Amino acid sequence: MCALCGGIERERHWTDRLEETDSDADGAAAWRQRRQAQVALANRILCQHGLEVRDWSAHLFVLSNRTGQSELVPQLAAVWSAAERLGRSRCDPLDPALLARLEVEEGVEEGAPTWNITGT
Amino acid sequence: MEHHGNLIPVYIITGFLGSGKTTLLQRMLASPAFANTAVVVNEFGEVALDHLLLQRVDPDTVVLQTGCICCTLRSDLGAALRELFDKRERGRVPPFDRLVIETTGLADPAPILFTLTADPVLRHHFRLGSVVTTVDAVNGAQHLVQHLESVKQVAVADRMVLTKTDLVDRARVEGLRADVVRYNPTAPLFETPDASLALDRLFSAETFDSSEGDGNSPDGRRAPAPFSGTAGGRDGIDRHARDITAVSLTIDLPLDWTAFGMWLTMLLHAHGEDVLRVKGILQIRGVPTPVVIHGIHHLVHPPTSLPWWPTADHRSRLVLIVRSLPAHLIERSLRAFLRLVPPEQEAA
Repeated sequence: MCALCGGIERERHWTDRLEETDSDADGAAAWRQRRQAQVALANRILCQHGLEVRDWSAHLFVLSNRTGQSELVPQLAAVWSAAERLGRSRCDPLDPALLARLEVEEGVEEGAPTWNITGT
Repeated sequence: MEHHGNLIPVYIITGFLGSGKTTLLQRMLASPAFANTAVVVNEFGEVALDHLLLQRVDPDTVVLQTGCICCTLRSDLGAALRELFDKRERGRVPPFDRLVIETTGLADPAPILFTLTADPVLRHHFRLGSVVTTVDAVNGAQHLVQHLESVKQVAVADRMVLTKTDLVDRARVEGLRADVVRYNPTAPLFETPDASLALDRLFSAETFDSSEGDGNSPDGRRAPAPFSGTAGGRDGIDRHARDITAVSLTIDLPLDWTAFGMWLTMLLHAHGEDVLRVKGILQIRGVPTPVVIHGIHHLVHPPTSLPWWPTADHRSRLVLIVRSLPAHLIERSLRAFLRLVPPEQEAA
């Protein structure tokens, strides 16, 4: 139980940050910073469904649609089911419409090294 | 990153009816190398333990002269494993440090793995070691054609043992090798006429164990290079099995963990039923050691790290064994997600 917000501490999910990147110097600020980066990334995907997610007290995430309906989700990995309920559309990373949008996503630095993924 | 700590590794023996699981178990139970191992079998009667019996703990549990503990499964695997762990803690059975579970011949191993990961008690005491699948050279090819369960057993394997290879000609063995590699291009193949191989290697190595990297061991050959393509296509093949494909991806720059996690969780959310297996050794940005990930259907085991790369090739390699999902779309999707967090200039 969190002493500050009364929230129940959750189990770590496999997508949670890797311990190798932890260090004693990493404090709460760094943790929040990482969560903000996660949220920013998630929102670039969720906007396809008219949804937005935000961090809530560094323990939970709040997912909202454009009409103001919201759901609390314990971790971003669990956001997809809630996103389908609130966005009323299927969250599928193989959806050609999503891929077409991500492939022209703004904010991806021009001239950055490109991913070379080979299917052998 | 999950650290193994005191978690007891669990190895699963699976394989179709008559594929040699019992022979493998009998050798294991009789071997001193399996002291401090608990083995969960379907029935005591099948493995004929009487001559090895040292102590009967209760109707379902015996201790063998080799130091191996053997127990049968009455009904629920989760309950049986909790009971077994309780006996270990109370000193009623020796303090085993390895667990082997035999599945029934028709079982899909995925629910067993789910039990290990999802059970609120078990997941704090046990972890998945690896899945060993037996395929017999006499009937294995036919089973793969006719039974989806057989294909699933091959697809989830971390090690495969081709048994009864002395009963058929070489061409048939090679044909079977090609068949199983089509469904699972990464699992090392062991070949034996009678399962008389180095059992401790089968049940000690972890997924992506670096000791198997060279593929030149006398009794184990790594499958040929992974490929992507649709298996099957012959008349009479199970319709679902025909659509199973191994998709192998190599990624040449360190991955962003958040982007990768989002991609994989979303993929498994949408298509987990059709993702039979995910296995990967990944180079993650900011993490000095390789990260191993593996999952079955919707379930991903906590990632672990290897102390070093098994080969000089440090690129990420990800294999997905999927049903009816286009390989090109999976590759395009991963690329699109990773693109959201561009690689660092110096990373190349």
